[in-house]
Amino acid sequence: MKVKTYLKASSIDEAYQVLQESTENAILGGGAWMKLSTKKVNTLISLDELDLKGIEEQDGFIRIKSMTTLREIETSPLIQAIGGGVITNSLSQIMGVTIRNIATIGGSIVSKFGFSDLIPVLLVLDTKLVFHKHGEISLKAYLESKIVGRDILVEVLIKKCDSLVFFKKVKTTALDFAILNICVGKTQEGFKIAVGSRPGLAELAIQSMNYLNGCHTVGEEEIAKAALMVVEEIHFSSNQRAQKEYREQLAEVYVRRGLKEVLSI
Amino acid sequence: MKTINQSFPSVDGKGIMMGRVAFTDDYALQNSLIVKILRSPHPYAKIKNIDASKALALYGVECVLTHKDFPRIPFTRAGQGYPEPSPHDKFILDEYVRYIGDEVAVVAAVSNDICEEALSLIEVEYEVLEPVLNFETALDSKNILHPEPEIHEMFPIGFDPKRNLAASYHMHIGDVEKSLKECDVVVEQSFFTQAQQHTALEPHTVNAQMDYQDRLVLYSSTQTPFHVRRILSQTLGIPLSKIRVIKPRVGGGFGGKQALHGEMFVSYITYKTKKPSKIVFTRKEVFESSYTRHPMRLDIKLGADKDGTLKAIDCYVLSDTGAYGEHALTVFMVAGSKVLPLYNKVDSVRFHGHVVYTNHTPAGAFRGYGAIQGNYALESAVDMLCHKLHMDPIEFRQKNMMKENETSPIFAIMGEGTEGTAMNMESCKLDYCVSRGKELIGWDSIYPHKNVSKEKIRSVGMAIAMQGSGIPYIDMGSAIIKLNDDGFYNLLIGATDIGQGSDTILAQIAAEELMTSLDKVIVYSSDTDLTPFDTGAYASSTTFISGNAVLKAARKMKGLLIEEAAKVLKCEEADINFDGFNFKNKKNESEINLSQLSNRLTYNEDQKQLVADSSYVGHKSPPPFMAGFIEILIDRETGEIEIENYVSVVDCGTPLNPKLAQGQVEGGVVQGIGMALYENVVITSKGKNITSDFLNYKVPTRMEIKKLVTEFAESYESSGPFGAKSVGEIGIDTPPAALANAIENALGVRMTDLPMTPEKIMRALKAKEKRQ
Amino acid sequence: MKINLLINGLYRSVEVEPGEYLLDTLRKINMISVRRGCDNTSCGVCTVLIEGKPVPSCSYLSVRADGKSILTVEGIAEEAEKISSYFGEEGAEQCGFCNPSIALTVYALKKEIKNPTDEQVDKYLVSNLCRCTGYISQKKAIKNYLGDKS
Repeated sequence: MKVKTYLKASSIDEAYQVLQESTENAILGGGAWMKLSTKKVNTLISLDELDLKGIEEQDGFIRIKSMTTLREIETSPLIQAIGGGVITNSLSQIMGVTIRNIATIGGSIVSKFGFSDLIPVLLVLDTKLVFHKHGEISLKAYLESKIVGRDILVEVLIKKCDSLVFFKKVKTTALDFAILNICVGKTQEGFKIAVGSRPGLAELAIQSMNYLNGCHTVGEEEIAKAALMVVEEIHFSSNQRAQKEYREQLAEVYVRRGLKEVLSI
Repeated sequence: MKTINQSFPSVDGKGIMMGRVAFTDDYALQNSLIVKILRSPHPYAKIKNIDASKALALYGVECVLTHKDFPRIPFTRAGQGYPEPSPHDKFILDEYVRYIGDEVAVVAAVSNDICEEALSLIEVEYEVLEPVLNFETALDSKNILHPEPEIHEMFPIGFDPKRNLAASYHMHIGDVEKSLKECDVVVEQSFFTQAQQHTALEPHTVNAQMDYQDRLVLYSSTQTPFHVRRILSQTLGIPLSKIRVIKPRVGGGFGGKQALHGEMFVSYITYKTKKPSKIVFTRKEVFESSYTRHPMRLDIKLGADKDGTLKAIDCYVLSDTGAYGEHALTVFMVAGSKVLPLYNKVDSVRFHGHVVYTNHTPAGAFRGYGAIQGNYALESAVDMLCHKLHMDPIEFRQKNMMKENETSPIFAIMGEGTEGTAMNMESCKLDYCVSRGKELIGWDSIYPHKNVSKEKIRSVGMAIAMQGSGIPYIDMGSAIIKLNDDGFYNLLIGATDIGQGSDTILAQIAAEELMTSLDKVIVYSSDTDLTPFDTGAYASSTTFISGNAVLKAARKMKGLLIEEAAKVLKCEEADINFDGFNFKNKKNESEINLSQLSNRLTYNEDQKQLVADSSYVGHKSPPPFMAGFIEILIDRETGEIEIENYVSVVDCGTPLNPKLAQGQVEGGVVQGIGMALYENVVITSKGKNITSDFLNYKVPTRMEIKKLVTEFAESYESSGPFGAKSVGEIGIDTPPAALANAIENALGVRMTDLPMTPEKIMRALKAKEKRQ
Repeated sequence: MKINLLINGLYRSVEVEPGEYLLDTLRKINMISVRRGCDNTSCGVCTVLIEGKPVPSCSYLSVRADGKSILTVEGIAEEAEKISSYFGEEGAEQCGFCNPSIALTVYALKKEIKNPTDEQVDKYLVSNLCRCTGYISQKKAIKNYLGDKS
């Protein structure tokens, strides 16, 4: 990687200032995906000296500091208790342990990669992000807008969830990007369905969710209908990994299976 | 047998695990010039102008080479015996570039960064030409890849570049069209196999230096050091005696290193500048600019009588050799010669086809070498035929397949580029392999399938395969055994250990014959100065060819030792009893041991250095055989497949080192599974490779491989060393057909192109449902 | 810029560029057991242990490793030799290119997870590719090694 200067920021304010100075300056997250970009960096800003690691519980939320590695998160008992272990399930399917030892939750979110295995899960759970300048914003709002400028993600807040949340990553081999990601759960907010790697960035299937939340009871018939609705409302497309039609087939199957599992039908 | 048929750990395993200097780049001199290649962004173009002046002006750039720097001597990069059965259709650098990734110019500079920068400063003006990107329309296309007048074949191989033809072949036995007309049941199907890549974990690399005798010394990650030396000499005009090629440990080859990669450039640069130089391919270069497996279309027709007797096989192959013709003819011929004899009792057989040029990454050698493509097509078609006949696929095979002491007329007709060699199957335990494999997979309790749940189906499928053991009358291996003081031996062999363990098993052969322990045989291999000739690691030749050479050399050494012992103990040679360490005069019980004898011969009396050498050329190529069985769980709603078990029962004669032989089979099986299910070189309609890293080219990981069961049949091939046949390739051949057959058994759909992805399976299933 | 790398218990002072990766730095100073296979974290042969955790050195900036303890296979020689004997028994040492990185990862696994299940072992090692063995012999060898409580 072409880097002109390496700066170990001594405060988050300093890091933020230097980041604003040039669009060629960048924050060093985990560095896991650095090799994918051949771009030149003027000043690479390291947050390693700042206290941005840790997982704790507060007011019904699990608070994860942004430089916590994916491996630290997946092995945390606090995290394993959420949604029947859904976050651990998702994270443990991302590449291998070596990469998860350096990839950070901050980097995994701000990169907004369509193939992200984590984002669909965080969408289903109630997740908020805390940026240094912007402050708090829901993950959903962050993904859908460009309202947060060049900022530094400081913390990720995930609402605790006691019910089982279903996650399926459809992939070729264990080390592959997802062909499709499906996350389904019934949280305190009601039914949540997220589809990722469409191949586009993960989205919530709002209409399908509203339908289920409006149902008096949810049985096989309602589940089948909801799954078809997801295919209707979510936009899928084709890429080298799969054609649109196949993604639609997979979405229908796994939303259906996910809802059944979550409702123990 | 004390050493043979024993699973010794490989002689180099510990040293490599401990991180010792072992692989090619470990030997590069610190101050080596870094060599990098400017590669074509166009699938087909003519270089109108190259201006390297800005690159040359950069500090630290030693030289920039273009096609203007080399005389127009066409050659082939293929590592094969001379004269090669591959066309001489490549120039060191040419004014035409023929695939995205082809070589345009070469830079040598003092560091990686400077070299990269120099590459970006070379200005090239291209005349973009219309590429040939569809191998099915390449033959007689108006766009010709190779208009050069200088290129040629070394002997007739059907080379006709005006037609975009790198090679072609035709053979027939009987009248296949007539036979088919008379058959009760005929099956006709085309099968497509994809470009697959070796992905050896060590990228291609080579470094060169001038030694103190002013000779060019190369360390190369290669499967064919002797062929490399010859090709460099012939093409660069450097006397053969001035070149030394050393192959250190190699981090995997599988055929991908059975051709030149960077050797030509570092040799030229070092020979010219006298400075050491090196090239290390990036993974992207390995994917885009080394070699792939030949993608093929195989048109199969099978005809049988309703009693299940196979009567006729017709096989046409269209093979895509990419931009250059390395291994073009031979891979294509093996698709027939090492597959069709499996059903040796047919009335008629026809095998023919064309190997065409396209503007794709060149295809080349890859384990299986045509046999895996041919096997996929034939063994799939056989199951289709069984379906039509309402006959059990195992019963059908047992009725029609090759048996011990039988032969096939194909052996005499089809060699590798030339005529073949007739041979009887002195050892063929295929029937045992089939029945034992059937037992091990639990065939009867699953075939054709069992519903496990609403979602999942369990099914089984199988295929049989054969390969070869070297190329008769062409492949030569040799060995030298030297006795040291204190009574241990050096075994010097040309044979090329690329991780398959040939150093180890060849030492085992020597140790067995010399009746000594394995640690008393020190192996040194693959150095064109210090070791005798060997064609190299390909065509499954090492165990059989190099092994026989070692055996003969060991016998010779034994003879020399007994001769000397007889002189010392003052008796006739026939009176000497030798147990590997002690020599005893049977007549008067006087003794001398090996340690004493060797010290005496080195220092004390009648001093001489005992050296025994021998060579071996095969007069036949006894095939190893295998039956492969797969058990899968398939999701009927998504097509996703889990591989539950793969059973391999192999006849390779005596497995010289059972664990290493098992490793060869299982490594091959998993590569075959990769080709069947996961791996695919994807080239866009513009000729760009978009699977040029491990993130996009998916090889099997340890999560996909849950269970492999591998057994060896009791078999003995008397022409092989201690009864052994080769085993390096046989493992890879069966998985695609076995899996296709299992999918048919599960869902009733026939998958006819590789890889058989879940998406394709669902498409086939939906199409079937529509028809019904 | 100058950094101090604590490699296998010994400090080495090295001059590096800010954008230089640890793999290149290590090979530059002759730690050749750390190998290059793919350049983008997807093959495993560049694995080293940084503060006991396996990381891909091809994507780890050397400046970040300043002052941290690094283990290459030479630093776990006794265990690597033991692992090698288990591998040798199963014929799992073929080309060997992946072996040092696997030894390091297995060593880290042993320290991190007590009595791992077969699935946990496979998942921990999933990004250590092997193209030679077909994995099963490696799995047997690793299982035997981890089961050796001596």
